[in-house]
Amino acid sequence: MENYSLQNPFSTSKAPLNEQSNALGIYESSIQMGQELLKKPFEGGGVDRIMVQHSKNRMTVWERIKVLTEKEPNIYFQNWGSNLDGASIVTGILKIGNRDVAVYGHDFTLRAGSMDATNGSKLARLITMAGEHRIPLIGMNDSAGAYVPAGVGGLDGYSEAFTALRRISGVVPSIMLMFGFNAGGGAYLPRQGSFMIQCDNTFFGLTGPGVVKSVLGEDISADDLGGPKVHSQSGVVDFVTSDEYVSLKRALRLLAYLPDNNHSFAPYTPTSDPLDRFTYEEEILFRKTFNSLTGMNTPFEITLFLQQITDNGAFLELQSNRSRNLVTAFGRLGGHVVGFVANNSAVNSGQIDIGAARKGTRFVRFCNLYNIPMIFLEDTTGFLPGKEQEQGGIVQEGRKLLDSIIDLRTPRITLIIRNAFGGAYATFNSYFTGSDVVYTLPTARIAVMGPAGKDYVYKKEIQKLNHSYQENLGKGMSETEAKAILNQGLATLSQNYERELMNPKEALSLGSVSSVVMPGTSRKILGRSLSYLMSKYKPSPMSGVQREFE
Amino acid sequence: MLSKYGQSLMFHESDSSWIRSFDLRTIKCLIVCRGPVRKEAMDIFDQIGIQEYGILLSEKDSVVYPMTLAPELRGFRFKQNIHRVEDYMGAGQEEKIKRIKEIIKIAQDHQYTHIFAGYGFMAEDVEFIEAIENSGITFMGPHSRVAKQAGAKDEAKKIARKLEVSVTPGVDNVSALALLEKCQDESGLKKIATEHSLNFTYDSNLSLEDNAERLLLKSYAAAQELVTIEDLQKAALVQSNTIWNNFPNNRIRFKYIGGGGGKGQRVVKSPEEVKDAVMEILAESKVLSPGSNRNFLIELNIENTRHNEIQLIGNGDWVLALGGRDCSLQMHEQKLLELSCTQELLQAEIEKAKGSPREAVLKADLKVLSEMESQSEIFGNAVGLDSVSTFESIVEGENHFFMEMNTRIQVEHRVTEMVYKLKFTNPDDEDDYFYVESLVEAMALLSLHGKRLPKPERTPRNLSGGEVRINATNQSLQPHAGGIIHSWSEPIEHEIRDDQGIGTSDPDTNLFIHYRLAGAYDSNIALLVSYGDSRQQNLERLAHILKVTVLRGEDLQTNLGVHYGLINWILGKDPMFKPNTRFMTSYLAAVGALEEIAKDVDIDLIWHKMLKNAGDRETKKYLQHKYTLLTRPLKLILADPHKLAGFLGRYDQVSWKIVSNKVVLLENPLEILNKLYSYLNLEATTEKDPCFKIWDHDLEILQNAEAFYQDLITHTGHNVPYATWERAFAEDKNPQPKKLPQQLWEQCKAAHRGFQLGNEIIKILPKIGKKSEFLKLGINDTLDAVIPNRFKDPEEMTALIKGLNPPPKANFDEVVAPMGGMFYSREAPDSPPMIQEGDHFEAGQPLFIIEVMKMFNKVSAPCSGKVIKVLMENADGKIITKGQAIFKIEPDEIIQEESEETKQSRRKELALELIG
Repeated sequence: MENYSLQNPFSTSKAPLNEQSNALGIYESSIQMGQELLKKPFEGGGVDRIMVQHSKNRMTVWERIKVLTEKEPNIYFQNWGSNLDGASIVTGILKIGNRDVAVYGHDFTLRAGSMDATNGSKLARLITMAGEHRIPLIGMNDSAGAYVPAGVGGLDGYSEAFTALRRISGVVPSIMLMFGFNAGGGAYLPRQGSFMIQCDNTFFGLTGPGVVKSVLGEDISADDLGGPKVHSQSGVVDFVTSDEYVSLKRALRLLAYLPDNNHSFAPYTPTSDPLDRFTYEEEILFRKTFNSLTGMNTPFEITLFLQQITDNGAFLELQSNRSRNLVTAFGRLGGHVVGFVANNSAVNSGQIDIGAARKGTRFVRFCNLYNIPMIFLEDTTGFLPGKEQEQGGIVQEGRKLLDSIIDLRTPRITLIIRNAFGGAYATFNSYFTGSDVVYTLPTARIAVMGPAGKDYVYKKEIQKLNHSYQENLGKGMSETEAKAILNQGLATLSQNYERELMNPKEALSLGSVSSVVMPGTSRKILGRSLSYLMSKYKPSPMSGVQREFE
Repeated sequence: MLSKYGQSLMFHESDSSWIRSFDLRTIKCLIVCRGPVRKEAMDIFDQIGIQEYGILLSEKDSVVYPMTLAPELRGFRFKQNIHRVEDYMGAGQEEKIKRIKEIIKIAQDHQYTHIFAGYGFMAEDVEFIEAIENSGITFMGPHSRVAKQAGAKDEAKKIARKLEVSVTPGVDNVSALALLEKCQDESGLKKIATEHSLNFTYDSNLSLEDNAERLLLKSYAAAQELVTIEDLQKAALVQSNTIWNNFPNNRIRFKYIGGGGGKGQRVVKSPEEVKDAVMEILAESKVLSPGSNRNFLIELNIENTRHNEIQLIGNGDWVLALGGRDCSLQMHEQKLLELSCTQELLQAEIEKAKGSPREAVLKADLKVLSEMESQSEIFGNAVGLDSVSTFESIVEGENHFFMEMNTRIQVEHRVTEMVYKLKFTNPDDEDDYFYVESLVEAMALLSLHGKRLPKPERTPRNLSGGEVRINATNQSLQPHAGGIIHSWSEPIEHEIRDDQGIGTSDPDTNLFIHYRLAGAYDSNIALLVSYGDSRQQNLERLAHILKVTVLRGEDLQTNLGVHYGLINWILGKDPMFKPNTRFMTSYLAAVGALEEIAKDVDIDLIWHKMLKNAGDRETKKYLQHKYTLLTRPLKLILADPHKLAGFLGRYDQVSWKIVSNKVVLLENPLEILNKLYSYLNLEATTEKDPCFKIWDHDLEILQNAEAFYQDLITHTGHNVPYATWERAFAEDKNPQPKKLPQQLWEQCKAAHRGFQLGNEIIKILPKIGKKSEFLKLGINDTLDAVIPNRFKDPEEMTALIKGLNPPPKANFDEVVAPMGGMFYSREAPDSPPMIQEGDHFEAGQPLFIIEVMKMFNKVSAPCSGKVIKVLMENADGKIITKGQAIFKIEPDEIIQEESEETKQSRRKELALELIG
């Protein structure tokens, strides 16, 4: 007998199972076997392994499912795998609210959630099923990678899953949650999905720090190599959260903005927030911003405007830890889910750089595939120039944003808030890129160039001023005095330029803009057009020619 | 309104014509305030049948921060009644007058009959109220006349003195008194003036003392000495003795009129000290030379200040006191926890305390309370109180002194609502009556039907009421703005939550709307109110509410944990605790002392040591089996010093005690573990998500153990405390009378060993409590706090409190440009630079501007510190590159790099000490 026990010796002791079954008939023992088989996947790797999982403050896959839904999951392929334990992955269909959602989750307590042929095949089946049944997919990734003893089987498993996931990409949206420590295929697979959510104290990447150390000699912690801080900055991850629970809840919130598939609209929710309410705060916001000391050059946070126009002020910003010079967010307007792309002058002047272009491209393409209408809020002085950007390929990345907008087939509206200069104006959902409507606030400054444009427009006048400056000096005027006259003249030209050209008049006259929207009525005007456009738009899968570039 | 049958009705729905005559339907009220009271007023107005109301938003509210839209507007019924002003009050006098006009115009343009101002500044602003009254709109609150008389402190005290309401004894004109001692009367004053060739005429409209004062002012201007230091010393002694006659145990404070920062102040204990003290303060203030103004203040020194207040209600003809509220638990001038104090509660407690030392204390409290209540009514009558107000006092032992009257509803008014309701009876028919439970409702009623309302009776509802203020503050109770709330659990039974509507979910999607705590005004998020049939039950309910309240979000810091800890601590000591206003500072320091140790406690290190010491493989295996069961709650509680404080306070002397430096457990350690799980809200209940409750396998062990120790008693009939069983197992004594079969007894021994294995790790909690001296913090027989010296020393307190919330430290000495562009030191050419050499700045404060493509980006400070040198002097308009240094700075908190080894060895040492 052992020295210790964690059982209550008084509770009626159960006889060991094998003794019991000796006494049973064939039918009873079949029943018993059936029960054991049913139970098997739920037991995972046994209490000891579950304790290890818990000791890292991680939930088991079954516990994670409980956070997603209170309803009992419908589990498929339960006893697959040589150990009849489901091959370290759980696959099934969940009822979330009244929607069916396919879910998979690695069971880390079984061989560290690693991939073998069965595992891959289960994954592929589930993913394919989601595509066929046109229901969204949630993936809960917690896998150490390929199961080494399974040999090539593990790699084949990945290939099969990769292929299945790529084939449903653009058919049904998927949300990938990153738990634990995922390397190699375990990192690629989830990134094939639509959105990634990573919580603190997790890692994913091509290889772990150990391999990096042995191959490259680099000493780096897992967190610095593939933690949420890294991936949220690169844009690999869309949401970063503090823990597993928040990740799961965030997935549900995101899901509320996503359609089931590429044949249908995102969930429409009739709104109690009147579309035609006059939004005083919008008016106040602009007044305060533009009447401040720095005038029309004052940056402001674009989400302040966004919250004024969306239903009940609610919206969900994606990739909010990076490239906030461009804000991408889901929100509702008149009950319709809308993808907002907004220049944000509060961050780096709202200029479009490589990061912003990538973020925007990705988002526009998603909305395009899934029939989500888009509203562009324009306030940018242009693409960010410079050595760093050119070396990083801004021409290619900016072009991608442009192309994604040209390709956009869903209802699309632009509201020019302030700056719309040069290439950025041309790119950012202008009429000629295929926009349905382009509106402008009276504060807009639509021009080929920003204030620097005065050098071209007033070339002659400037030459004249310089000339008289020299003349004045020649006449023996002091340099300070002559300079003062010159500066005065230049300032007057700047003011003229601002007054005459930095406004929406030319764009209106040329038909580049539909009409002026007064501050406070943006919600009404945008909402009205959106409802109209949505009534004429039928959701359908993308079709037609595939373009050369993404 | 509650009918006599207890139904909630609107006045016009009543079947009594007398009650119907109090119909409120004609009111159209404009709500001019923010904070929890705005939503409360909206809800109450809906309930009492006010036909229509509107709200006035301040522009600051929703255009400064994203995700801060007034939550009250979700589903607001009167969309057309949302009005806006730039700000309620404005900065200066001129702006204020402009705003007042603006607000009144809005009210008039939209035919509002009433204005309600909640508990903001304006609610007792005489100018504001007068302007409203003159405009023909009714101000829902005390009349300007009341605000004028009662609001100004000096004026109020003068009235109070006349009415013989107790005020802090003392004088502020000792020089004049000394002069009169010499001159006696008008002719004396005139005479001395002539002697010193001072041009003085006696003003018979003023008092003798005031004339003396005037003469003295002339003498100072002429540098003539009318009163010598000796005269002053004599007069000071006379005045001090007068005070000591009534308050022999108090000290007396002398304070030079122009003094500040502790200079020119002395606190004297006895008449012998008076002479020297006067000399010292005058010398310190450098006014020894003849003809200087040497006047100083003499007042009773209040050693143990408690902040009590009486709720008053009146209609100008009658005034009724509605019991007291104890608001002594406060910090940084912010009240934290407010508890009701009524005669009914004290009587009940006196009954329970019969024969104990508490009885006398509680009786004295009852006397103080009834005196305060009757004096407050006298005062309220004198100023013609015609709505609600609060009579504020400080209480020390058996003395109480009136401070001021707040002529408005107060944040903590609900505490009173929990304990009393108002019963209004038809003067012509005693069977025709109704109740009012809400003070806001009472205000509405008084504003429309004031004079017609008969004096109500106060009818007890509960013996105790209490309110917790939930603020966006960090562990050391400093404001922490900017966090975003992502979810907030639903209110539970016995919980009244005034949350400004933050918890109102999206009416369309039913999802919680993310809400940013902008902190543009103050840090208050919500008020949690509860009640009970005793203070104890009230506090238990509050503790439970705080325990199950889950507020989640991003960068979110609230004082929920502080409250949870504090209330549990009080529950563990004595619910009738009488803290003074300084207690919270000491308490925080004590929590800081816990944190000082707890932050270095490495549970895994301790666990590894235990494993190492465990001996054989089997022991190790079983110990490992209990890893999550034992370490998870310990890690959680050690990560939150306030929760740790509450647990230690609640269960010290209950679950353990310290006997000659050793922790002795007073119950089965598994019981303590169970309490810990429950304290941390980790009990297994079905509605919780798995990560918020005890893990299944751990629950199984706990349940097995519980059943085992229970069965042990049932099967043996040996109903003895756990300690006895422990001895029996240790000595291998199979218990009498019903001996267990040997094999079963052996199994029991194994189970006992298994269940108890490793449990000693729990002892580290009381050990930390002891080591930090936290456990010495307590409450004595007379219900006062017992505070170890360590937590009284100002310097040590500051350091310990700081440790609770270390400010971000910087290891840099420059502020650099985050991007390239054009540099500007100022917002506009004619504005001053945003910061200059030698200036101090806070983290987040904008320091300069970089213009990129005609956008002026403000760059804010990464930490707080001081500008040592401006490196971009006169450089406005210069091009700077990314990473270029702009300022040399000295951060407030400089990183003290501690080597990893030192840290590790310190942790190891601590681990050994705690398991030793």
